[in-house]
Amino acid sequence: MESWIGPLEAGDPEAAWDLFIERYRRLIFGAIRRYTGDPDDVMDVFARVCEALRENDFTRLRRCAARVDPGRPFSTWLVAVVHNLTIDWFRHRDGRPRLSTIAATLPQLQQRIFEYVFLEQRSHVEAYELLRSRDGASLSFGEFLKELSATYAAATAGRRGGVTAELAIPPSVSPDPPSDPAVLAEQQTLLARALESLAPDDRLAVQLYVVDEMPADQVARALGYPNTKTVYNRVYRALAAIRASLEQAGIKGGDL
Amino acid sequence: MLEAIARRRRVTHPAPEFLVPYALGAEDPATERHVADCATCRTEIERIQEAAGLLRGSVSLERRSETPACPDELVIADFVEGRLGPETRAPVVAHLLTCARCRSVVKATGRLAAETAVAVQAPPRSWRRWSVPLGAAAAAALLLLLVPRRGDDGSTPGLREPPLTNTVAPAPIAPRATVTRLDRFVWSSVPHAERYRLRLYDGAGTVAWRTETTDTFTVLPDSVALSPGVSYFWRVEGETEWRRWAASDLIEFRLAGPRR
Repeated sequence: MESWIGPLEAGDPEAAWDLFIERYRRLIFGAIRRYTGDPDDVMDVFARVCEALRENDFTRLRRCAARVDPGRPFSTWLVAVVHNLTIDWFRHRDGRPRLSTIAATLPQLQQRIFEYVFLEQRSHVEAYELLRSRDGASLSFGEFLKELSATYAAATAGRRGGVTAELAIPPSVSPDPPSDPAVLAEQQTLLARALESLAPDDRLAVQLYVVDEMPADQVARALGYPNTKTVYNRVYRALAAIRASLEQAGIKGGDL
Repeated sequence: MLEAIARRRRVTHPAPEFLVPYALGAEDPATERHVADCATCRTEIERIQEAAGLLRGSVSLERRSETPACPDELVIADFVEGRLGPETRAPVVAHLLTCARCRSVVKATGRLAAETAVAVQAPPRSWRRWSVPLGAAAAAALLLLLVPRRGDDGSTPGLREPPLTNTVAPAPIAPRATVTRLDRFVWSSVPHAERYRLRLYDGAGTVAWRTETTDTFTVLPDSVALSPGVSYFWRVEGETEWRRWAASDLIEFRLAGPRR
């Protein structure tokens, strides 16, 4: 099936590489283009992916080849590698100057938010606290979340938007955001307690489906559930546990 | 009579597999119709949204940075493919529950694997003319069209599996997996869609045939020759609004018989 593995194991890595790249070139390009529409970026990242797969005498390919079997789709591993290399390339190699040009058009407050959240990869709460303490900004946490949403929308538009979106955690869109990070922390403690009764697999299903917005069929596949119906049922149960916990604590939705 | 049936159906509320995705933004006309007339379900939806909103607030406390404990791509790929057993999965699940960075890699890997499925280069193949017994295939396809589909819980055919996005995409019915013969492609209808377009890809990701139709099936012309024993892929799109197309998943199939 994977014709390149034979020559690799037989000591002819260049022949293996030719077969490998012939087979997977389009997949690698396809995956990179999901993140950037800039042709120069695509070629640069492609070169980086090839370099990373070939370095140290093809260590990465050899490690994967040793575990390939007919039931294990090699392409899934490869897209995970391409994803990580693409994000790393933008972040470390020459990502910062290029990304800073994205932020150059933003209002000053949003530029700072961009720097903290996208470049320094701080959490939203950390970025908020730094804005207040280091930059002297006076805004509530709810106002900060609105600014963060605007920053995220502006930074992830355009040809490099796909990769920029991968550098930061998307803000949660809530009609009634907490006014203070301390309130948010209290809410999360309460939620963690409410979810304690669930099995770890089910907690992760809820996290992936509700918070990370991963499609239900992919959640079901990863966690070995028989179908998407199981995902929806587990999510329903988890959300019910959260509501019961809130009611037990005497908290209504409007209080939070 | 119809009104009586409609009244009777309203008594049963949508199950969680319909209510949860609908409450979280998926389009589902059948559930929407029920909810419009059902105060109980509207309250339930508000409660689901309230709890989900609180859960989503957790993102503000997380960082998307790599740690030494983050699993490598082989483990991530095996997790995404559902290849980890309960014991090997447990430490990965424990890590993912605390690591936004790895969850984003899992999500991206799942998405990219689905989106780039046809882009894998395959060695060139010799194409062979392949003919089908048209009568038998047409009868089988007609049967597929006439048999109402049921949800996996045995629910009414009207309440189908909800879509995963805001648009309802057509669901490919046949061909799937290995088929003994093929002369047409069949899929489910999409509300408001008046046109569908279909693309057939070979294993190298090249479009082998494309067509457009107003029906929910289309006949494979004699001019398209498929080889047995090798994989093909097809996807159908429904035009849900002017120039907006909702695409189905990519479906793999192959014709039974020795590969040539």
